[in-house]
Amino acid sequence: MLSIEGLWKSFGKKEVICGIDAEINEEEIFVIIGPSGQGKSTILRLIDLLDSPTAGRIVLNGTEITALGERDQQQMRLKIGMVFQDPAIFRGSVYENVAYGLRFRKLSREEVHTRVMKVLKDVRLDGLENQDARTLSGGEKHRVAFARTIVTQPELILMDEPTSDLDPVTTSIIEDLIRYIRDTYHVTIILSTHDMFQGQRLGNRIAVMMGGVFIQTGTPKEVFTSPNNREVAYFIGFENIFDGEITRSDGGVATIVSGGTEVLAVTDRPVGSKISWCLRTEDIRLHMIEDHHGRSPMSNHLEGVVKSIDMVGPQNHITIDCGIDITLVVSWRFAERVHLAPGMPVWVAFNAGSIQVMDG
Amino acid sequence: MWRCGVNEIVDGFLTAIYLIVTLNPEVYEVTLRSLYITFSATILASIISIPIALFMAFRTFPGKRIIINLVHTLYALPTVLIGLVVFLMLSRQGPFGFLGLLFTPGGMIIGQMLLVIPIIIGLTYSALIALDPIIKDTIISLGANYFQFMVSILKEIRFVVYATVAMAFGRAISEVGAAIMIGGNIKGYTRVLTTSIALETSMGNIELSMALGIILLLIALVLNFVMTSIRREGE
Repeated sequence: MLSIEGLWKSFGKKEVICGIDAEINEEEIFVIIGPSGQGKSTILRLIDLLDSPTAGRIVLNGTEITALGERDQQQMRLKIGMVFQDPAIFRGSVYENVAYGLRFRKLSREEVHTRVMKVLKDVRLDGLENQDARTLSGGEKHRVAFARTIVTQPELILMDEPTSDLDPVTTSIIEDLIRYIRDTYHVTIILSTHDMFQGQRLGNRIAVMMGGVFIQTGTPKEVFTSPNNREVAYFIGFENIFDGEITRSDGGVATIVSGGTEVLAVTDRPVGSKISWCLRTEDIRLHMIEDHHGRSPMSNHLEGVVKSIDMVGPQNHITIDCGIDITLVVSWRFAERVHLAPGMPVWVAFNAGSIQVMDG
Repeated sequence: MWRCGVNEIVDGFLTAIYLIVTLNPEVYEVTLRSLYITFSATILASIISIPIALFMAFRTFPGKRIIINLVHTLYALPTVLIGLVVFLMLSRQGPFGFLGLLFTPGGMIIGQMLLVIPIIIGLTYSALIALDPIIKDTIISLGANYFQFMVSILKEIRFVVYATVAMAFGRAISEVGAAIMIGGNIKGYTRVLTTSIALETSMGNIELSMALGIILLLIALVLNFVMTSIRREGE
């Protein structure tokens, strides 16, 4: 469907896109996630031909769209739709706003009316067609922008942070709408977001973008369970990320030394490798000293003392000093029941298979 | 001989009102000519200026900044200077003397056009570059060709354009220097509201001057009302 090959873009001396390659498949939702200012909007603008790349090419259904002349690019834009982060609302009614792009396609008045009324129903704005679009709420304006784009029936829709400043309820409505658009109109969607969970909820595939490159591309499961470097691990929410060195390896189980602490991990990397490893808070068990008699089936057991307790919503994030600081999550009920307090000696346990080994 | 006392001013004012309400032919002939010349000049200047403003806003070319500064400087162009330049151009020995436009309404239209073109270009250009870039990107992204893009952008700033044209009309109808120099203030041919007021006052015919002045003021009031309505509609 869409190939991005060796794409670079710089503004003056500032390089924003630094060599991106990607293949986007027909009818998939491809999500670009990453912190703000990493070039997510820029790549969408390049695909929409609003900016020109410094180097590289973009091929849509066999046509190198970045090499087209101005007139052909305008014709190509008729096949691509873009929903911007801040929805532009034109002067006029909701109907006029949604019909805007259809006016450029020289459709009959009846065709315009039929399409606009159908799409207004799809985005649940039917009944508001005669209202001044500028008086709508933020969420409704976003839906107008969606409707204006999908009414033109593009083959490819680009969405730049479609829910960045919306409340959770409206965000949920917009996310349902995005899935509905993909399923109803059989369209390919490329969506950028800084919300990693939104990427997980919506994406068939995810690309993590940092420093102008896709540092990891894969299914949500691949990215969220197997980050391939520290930056990705940090961005997708791993709290325990450490540097270390593999000192022994036996049948796929390696011993890693980090800050003087030894842990076992499942990896094929050779002895002597400088690596980073990460561990999800929910994969770690906490044991009180008196309850722990070495009977836990888990392969890693570390003794330590409680360093700090932070309340996060209904849970407590506990940091244990085991030579390295390991953070885990317990319910506040549990923390109260065992009188958890800083300085208390405890055990932490986790499986070797829970450790994700990454490039150092 | 006119004596300038309070009673005389009140008498002059009452006579002026009388001239207006009794549809004095001289008053109305001068008013209609003024409206015709200024209306033509403003429309023609708009047709020329708005595409230039669009070009300047959306294209880059060498010397663009200098031209923008020049346009802003020309806002305050003295009307007598325009009168002088157009007079020299249209005079029999001038480069456009063969057109025979000196001392004609056509020549006056050219003078007023030159007066308001910088204003229309400058204010339209300012509105265009102040427009939210997301509006421009959205129009392009929706697939507009060059012409459709320009029309769509103009629709977005239409209220500013209407107000600019109204302002240009006000500036053109109230100027006197160029109108006298280019038109020659010929009775029944090139005499307009402002030139007529200047002449009649110097001749001591204050009642007629006041009647014409009141009409000029009424036109200004109507223009102001129109501009306020446009601004309110725009908001």
